[in-house]
Amino acid sequence: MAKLQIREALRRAMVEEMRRDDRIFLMGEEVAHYKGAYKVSQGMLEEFGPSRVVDTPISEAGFAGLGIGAAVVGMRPIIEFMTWNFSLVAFDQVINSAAKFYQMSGGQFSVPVVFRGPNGAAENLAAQHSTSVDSLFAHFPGLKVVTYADAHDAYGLLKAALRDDNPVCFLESELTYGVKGEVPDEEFIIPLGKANVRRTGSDVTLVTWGKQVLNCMPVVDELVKKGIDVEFIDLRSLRPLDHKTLFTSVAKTGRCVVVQEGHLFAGVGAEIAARIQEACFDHLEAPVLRVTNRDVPQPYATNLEKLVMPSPDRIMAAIDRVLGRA
Amino acid sequence: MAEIFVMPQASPTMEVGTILAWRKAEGDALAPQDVIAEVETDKAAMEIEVFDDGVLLKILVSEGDEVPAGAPIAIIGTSADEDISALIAQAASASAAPAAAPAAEAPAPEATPAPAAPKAPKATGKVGLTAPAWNGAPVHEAIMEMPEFVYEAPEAEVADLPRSVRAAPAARRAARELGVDLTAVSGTGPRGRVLREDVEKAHATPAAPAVPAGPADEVVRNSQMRKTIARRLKAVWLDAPVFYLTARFNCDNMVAFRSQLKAAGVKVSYNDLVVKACAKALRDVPAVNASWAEDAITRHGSVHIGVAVALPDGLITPVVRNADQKGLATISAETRDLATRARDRKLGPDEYQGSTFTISNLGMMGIEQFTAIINPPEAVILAVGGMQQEPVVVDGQLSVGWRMKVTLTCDHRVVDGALGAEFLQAVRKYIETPALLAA
Amino acid sequence: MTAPPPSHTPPPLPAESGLPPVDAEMLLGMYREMLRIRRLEELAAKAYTQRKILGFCHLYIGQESVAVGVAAAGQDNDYWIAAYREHGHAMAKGISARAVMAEMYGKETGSSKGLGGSMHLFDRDSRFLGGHGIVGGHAPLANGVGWAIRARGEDAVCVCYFGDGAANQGAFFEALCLAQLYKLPVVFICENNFYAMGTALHRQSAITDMSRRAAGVGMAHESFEGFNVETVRERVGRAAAYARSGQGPVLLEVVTYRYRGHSMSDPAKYRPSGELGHVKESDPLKITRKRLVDDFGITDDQFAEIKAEVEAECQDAAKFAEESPVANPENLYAYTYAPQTTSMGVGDDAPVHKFEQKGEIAVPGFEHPAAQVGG
Repeated sequence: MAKLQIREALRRAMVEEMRRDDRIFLMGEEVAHYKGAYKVSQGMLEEFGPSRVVDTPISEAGFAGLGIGAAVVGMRPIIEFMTWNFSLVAFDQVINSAAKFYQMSGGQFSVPVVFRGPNGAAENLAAQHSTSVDSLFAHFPGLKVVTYADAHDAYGLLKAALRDDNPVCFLESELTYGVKGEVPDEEFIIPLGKANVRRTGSDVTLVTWGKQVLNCMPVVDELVKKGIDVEFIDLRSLRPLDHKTLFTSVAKTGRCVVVQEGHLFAGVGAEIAARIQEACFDHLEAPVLRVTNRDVPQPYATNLEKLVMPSPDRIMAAIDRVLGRA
Repeated sequence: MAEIFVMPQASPTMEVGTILAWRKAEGDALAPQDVIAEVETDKAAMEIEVFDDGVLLKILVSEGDEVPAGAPIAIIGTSADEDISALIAQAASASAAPAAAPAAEAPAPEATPAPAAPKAPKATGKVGLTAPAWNGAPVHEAIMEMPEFVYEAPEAEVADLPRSVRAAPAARRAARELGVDLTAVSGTGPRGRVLREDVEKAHATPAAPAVPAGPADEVVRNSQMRKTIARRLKAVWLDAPVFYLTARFNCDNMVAFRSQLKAAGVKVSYNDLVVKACAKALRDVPAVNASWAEDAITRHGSVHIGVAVALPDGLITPVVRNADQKGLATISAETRDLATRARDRKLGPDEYQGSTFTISNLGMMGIEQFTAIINPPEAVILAVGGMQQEPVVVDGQLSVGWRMKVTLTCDHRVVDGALGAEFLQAVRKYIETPALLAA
Repeated sequence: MTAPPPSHTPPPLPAESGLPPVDAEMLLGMYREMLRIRRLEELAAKAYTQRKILGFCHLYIGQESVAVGVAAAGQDNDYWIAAYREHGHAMAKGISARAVMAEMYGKETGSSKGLGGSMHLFDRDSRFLGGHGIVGGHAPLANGVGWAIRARGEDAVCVCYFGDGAANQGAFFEALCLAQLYKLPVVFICENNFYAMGTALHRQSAITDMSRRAAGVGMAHESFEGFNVETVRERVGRAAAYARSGQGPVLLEVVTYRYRGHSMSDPAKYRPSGELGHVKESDPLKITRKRLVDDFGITDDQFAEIKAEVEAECQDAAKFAEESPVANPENLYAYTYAPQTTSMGVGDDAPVHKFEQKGEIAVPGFEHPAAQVGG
């Protein structure tokens, strides 16, 4: 067992796979010489050389498409977006090519590419650098969308993404690259599409993913202290969505709060709420509530940004509402 | 081999095209992509091309003609001297009949094999959704299932709990399953919402803990009728200030009258006589044939008498309309017919609604006297007890006579004591002098 | 103050392609191939008017010499990727007329089982990578194919077809930039037919020689007329040899012309009158037929025989498409995600994949530019 930073866990996953599989290469802005914009790929250029750890110009559509083209003829590229904000420049490539190639070709060419990079808000980065793209990519059949909360899951899920024969959007978090966590020394893989019930309970289901998991942890502690038996679910995969775990939980508790980054309108939380009310209708004691980024472009000022993001008091308030105490 | 060339369908909305001009003449050689005609459609003028080598053998429609898409417009062959008489005939009959498919395949001597039928859908039986047909072929049921989420078919039973109750979905389901009346449960949720725990608590109490379990309770769901009775009579009970007037009628004459009628072949019941008596009495005292409203009392122009009929799970009051204008035989026949149909649940709305006065008779069940609840929006109701032989005093001497007690429930807002008494006097008049019924 | 490092000047294309000279059989074969493409496109047009082909249908009639010429210049193990006017390219690369037609008819026997349609023809065996609908969107993918070729040390090129309209798309510029930066074995072929949908060339771009787009990224480029299939073969052959040898990508502008509108819904009324008639003087079939008659003595009978064979093959393809079963609804969900075949094993069970031969990709080095300049 070792305590690794999340960036180290991600690196370990990539390095292990690249050592075994010549088809894998890492490509993106500043990944090689600069050692990665967030130092995730530090040391990889020295081990694998410039043909496999590749610096690109600022041409997201160009190098995302390159990755896709390489994947359809048998390579297994890792395409890093410096942040997922910039993936929007390559949106056509990811959606119209990566997601649809397999279907358009009638199953002749699969696309085993991993797109990865930090997603969502950091701090004070303002409107164009704080986008959470979960729902944008999760919307499209043909893609898989995965995220992690801690080092253990970062490693295990990135390994699974690299083995997956389909295009995977792997959403990381800039704010937590330095957060340390226990990662077993032995190799392991966490299958995609399986949520993690971090705490079992029977009063209310709290669902979230990505770095919001870390933000919810103090809230969970607080609830438990108040005697509320909260069931805390880390979704991990947004697509495919582990609806079985969700439904089992809400059937038990009858109450659900979803915490997400990303705006309220048509966020992943909306999909979760819709499915829960369809399948668990008779079990619900209260409507499914969502705590999300407010529907405004991210402001720069610290005080305003704090108002936009999900915060412990907003989460608590939602929990109180579904428990019928508000 | 010559072929019939049809009007192509240029756009999904195109139904007809008008030939603006023929660009080729009969006998002209044709090459692929040659334009043979210009046609006007709903969208624009378009050029019609051929895509094969050939000769334009026959033009079938003229410039200015409007032709439906798919209808024959020309015959194209490979050489100028082909015999196309059969095709011309075929084209003529095709034009006469409404154009079908736009394909223009000449009838080939050898049968072309039919296109392979799409695979028949597998019955998965998983989902309660009907698979729509597409292009004539039924869609495979499996595609109606989304692989990541299986839609659960809604439960067949309708939640028949009143919607006015605020209850969480889980509470409603618990109430259905436990047989708890949601309206009787007090909710502890926000804005009085009934929660599942409230239902469970209501279900658990108030049984005495020490009593050993006896035979199971039977929970009978409230039918629509029961709910209606409950609702209406509760409303009038809470609303109307009532008082009761009891009178005892001498029925000797009525008994004799009935026997006479029977001997003459007219079968009436005592209740029929009471109905007629009340009908005439209502004409004598019209103020009782009325309904209360906040600012006015409506005195009804017609006399429609409702006769309460017991049903296995409740009661209903079929109405004898214009009872004052009907003879006894008619009233008798109608009442019998209405009662039968009432028991068979075959009454129409105007047969059980619209009464202005109601009679309830429990005499045949051994009831001496009772008070009935007004049938809203009426002002009074007459409860008729049983007719029996009693010791009576006539001219100071003890005798035996037929007596019957009736009780009139009156809504004091409409009917005061004296008025009610006056009405009962009128009824008495007709009961005790039944010959007046025919007058 | 240090000066920026000098811009890259690409080495010149070789003077000759190194391909064997054209003989009668080869030229007759190319003629036949062009005729085959033209005839199938005509039957596709006919089927479209009969509403047997639906949606979009973009015909290659008039441009056949380009795809056929490139096929003659290349190798079977080359990869091709094209836009949506790709029926001719698909056939030239090796997809059967039957599979092309059935796909356009939306039948189960189509090259993509009816899931793609006219704009998305793909074939694994002949290394035809589609069939793409977003103008210019597929150009970056060609670089990925080129990357794989280099990484695996393969002797192949990726040919990327697109039109003059695509040469204005952002993704296209990015593709050119990356291709040259990493010296990928890609031959970009711009089939300049002077119209991007209904917009004439001079109304889309101040520069009308699309090969000059390459000048902005330091890529070798040429422009030539593509009406003569032999010209195409020779010129593309030179470019393919260049790319194959690792000297870098090439952008070729091949001037050509489509006889019909952008698609079946376009009556092409934006062309000046007489233009089509004028261009048809240079019909590729006409040019090659004349050459076959004049220089190889091919007789009318031989042409008639070829025509009959092509006719039979194309009519057979149409009949096959007509009679094939419709796309199978059971496939509706089958091709959204590829089945997981790569093992999820760990430790000794983990999958290992090593290239038999490895190549290096010419990613520009890391020496600081300042070190290059004296002082």
